[in-house]
Amino acid sequence: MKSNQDSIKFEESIIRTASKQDIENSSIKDLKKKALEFISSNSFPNKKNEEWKYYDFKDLFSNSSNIFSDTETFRQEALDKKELVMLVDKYVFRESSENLIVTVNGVYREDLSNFNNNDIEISNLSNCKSDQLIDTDSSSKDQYLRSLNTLFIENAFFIKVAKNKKIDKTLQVLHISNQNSFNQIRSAIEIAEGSSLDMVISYVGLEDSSYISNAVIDCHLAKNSNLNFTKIQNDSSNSVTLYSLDVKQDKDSNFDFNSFHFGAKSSRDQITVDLNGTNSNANLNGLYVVNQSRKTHQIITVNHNVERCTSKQLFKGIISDEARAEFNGMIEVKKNAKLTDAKQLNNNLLLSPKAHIDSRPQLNILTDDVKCAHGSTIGQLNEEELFYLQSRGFNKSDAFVTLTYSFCQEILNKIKLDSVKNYATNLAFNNISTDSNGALAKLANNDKFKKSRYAKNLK
Amino acid sequence: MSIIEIKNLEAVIDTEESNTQILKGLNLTINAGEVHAIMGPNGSGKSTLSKVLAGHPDYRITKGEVIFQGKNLLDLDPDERANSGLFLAFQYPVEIPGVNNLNFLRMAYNSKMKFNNQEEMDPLDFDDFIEEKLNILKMKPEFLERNLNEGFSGGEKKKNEILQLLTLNPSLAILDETDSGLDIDALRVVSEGINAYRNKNNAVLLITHYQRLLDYVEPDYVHVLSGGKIIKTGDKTLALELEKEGYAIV
Ligand SMILES: Nc1ncnc2c1ncn2[C@@H]1O[C@H](COP(=O)(O)OP(=O)(O)OP(=O)(O)O)[C@@H](O)[C@H]1O
Ligand SMILES: [Mg+2]
Repeated sequence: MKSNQDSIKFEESIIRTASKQDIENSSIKDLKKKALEFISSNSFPNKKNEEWKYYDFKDLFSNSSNIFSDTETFRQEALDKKELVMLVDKYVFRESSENLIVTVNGVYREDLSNFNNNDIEISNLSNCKSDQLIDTDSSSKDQYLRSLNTLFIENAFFIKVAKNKKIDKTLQVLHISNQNSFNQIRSAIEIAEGSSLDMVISYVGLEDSSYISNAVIDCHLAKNSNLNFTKIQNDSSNSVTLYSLDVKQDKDSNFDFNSFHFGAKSSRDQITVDLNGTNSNANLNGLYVVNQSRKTHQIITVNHNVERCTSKQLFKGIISDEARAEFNGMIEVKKNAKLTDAKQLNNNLLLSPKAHIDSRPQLNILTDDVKCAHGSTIGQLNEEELFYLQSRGFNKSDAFVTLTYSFCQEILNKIKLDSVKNYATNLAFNNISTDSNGALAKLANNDKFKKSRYAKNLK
Repeated sequence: MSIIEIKNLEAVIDTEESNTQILKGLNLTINAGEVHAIMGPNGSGKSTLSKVLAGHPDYRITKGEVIFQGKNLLDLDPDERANSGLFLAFQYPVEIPGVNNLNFLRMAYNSKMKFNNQEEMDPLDFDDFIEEKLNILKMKPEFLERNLNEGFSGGEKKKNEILQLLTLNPSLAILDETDSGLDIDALRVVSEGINAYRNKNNAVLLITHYQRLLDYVEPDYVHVLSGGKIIKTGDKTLALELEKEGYAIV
């Protein structure tokens, strides 16, 4: 009952705040009106919904009551520009310093971005046909969260890669959050026919800020295009993040997704991939490393809508202390999707007795002649392996770290850029409950490692 | 000078499933420069002895003491024992997927260096260092690129144990059935590796079922371990006798 009241209170705050907005002057006023209508006549998702069954709403409601309480506008003063520039400097990957898009508290900041590539078009809410780009709410599972996003967005960014362009520099999108606010991140990514793009999207938050971020991203991969998308979530440990990613793939397209979760008090990702063109392929990889009393929820759906598509999901989790994680992966093979080849695997390492995982790999197959495999494992570190390393001089914590690293390096190795890989590796180890003195640095220090003649063949 | 003195050692397996006494008053002293062989029936406690000495957590010492180069061995953690110069080549080396063999060898080597306040070796120097050891064992460099023992054949795992022995250069090498599973050529190569390691300051404890290894690595003493203690000690001719007659003679 209590949570129901909290939910109603949350919804009321939203509507009250929305009514103070100047919707009439927005460049997407029709969409905002539509979103408000939806929000007003529907309620926030609850546990009756299968995909929210394991979600703990407490963190969301406690942050929201804090955000909505005294400031009716829920937006405080942001950091000044100088401080922001310093933060950008700190978190930009050197390979991407000239291909950088920055948002602060959800708002696209052209002044902090640095972008110069004629093959990629970047636009914002007011200078593009944003209506078309944003009007995707009703076709998605997360209509409430999406409508919420539409209702409150101030600025968004849209990336379009022109036809037949292979973009060789990695594009970085850096999301900075630094206040107690309800942040709406919105973007759409269009990869035109025959093109390819690598991007890294990183989320960072100032440690003392208790924000909620609600991100909505739409990707469209046209015929024969390729998108490599690495997400690194390192939000403030007081924050609550909601994330909705919808990917639509045309014929012969390829989507590589690497998702890393290291931050936030509670994070929830809803990822939906639609394979709409024959011979398209999606590889979804994830690593979540949670400790203390943090929670993460990974809700992944791959829809095989047409024949001859392939997909692979590999998600790994390292859960310690009293942390909880949920992996809810679904492969939907639709009636027409003959010759589908779909795999899904979820491996979890529980490092303490109170750590918890709900792992639900699921298949729903509506046709014959398909190859599908799924499974999940839950385990602890292997005692014999630990002893073997100790018998070779590794102290307990080095042995522990080495084995933990060996568990997750398969996912970390999917990251192409060394600087990004090192960043993610360090975050992974900061989130494991142990003092990881020394060993990690030795293993993860790729630059030093590279010097070995034998290292060149190491994958 | 003695490297290790095992005095009246008693040990039990102490796991959730089992609580059985395996070592029942074992005595053994090994001096620098010596090679000792332990033979004995299956299940007599040979591997137990080696794992007890290495510090495996499944065993509990109920009596006795072990002095290793002047230190009380049983007070040390497994890594401290290793870094102080005790090495066990396992009868069944474990596979560790995801841990690169070369990286592992270097970390093991540098753990020992650090423990003894010596300078750690950087990767390039380590490449040269390890190459020399690989050559002694006629191992291909590919083994360095693979994950630790993962998918190694039985014999390859044993060779990899001896590669670690040469890398870590301990003062006591306990080799638990390193010869089992080696083909004829590999046995010779591995024996050459063991002999390359030997010097007047270190010692070898060979656990084996077969006389053949002892032709290559000549023992000063041969012990028979049975029922958790050493019941007979002789010179290398004892091994020949046992091979011919079986354990009925002891
Ligand atoms: N974890 C365990 N749980 C129960 N019994 C054990 C365990 N480990 C060893 N034992 C028992 O202890 C006894 C001694 O085993 P150990 O491995 O030391 O024999 P061994 O002399 O090395 O034999 P082998 O020649 O076959 O290698 C055996 O009876 C074995 O079954
Ligand atoms: Mg044995």
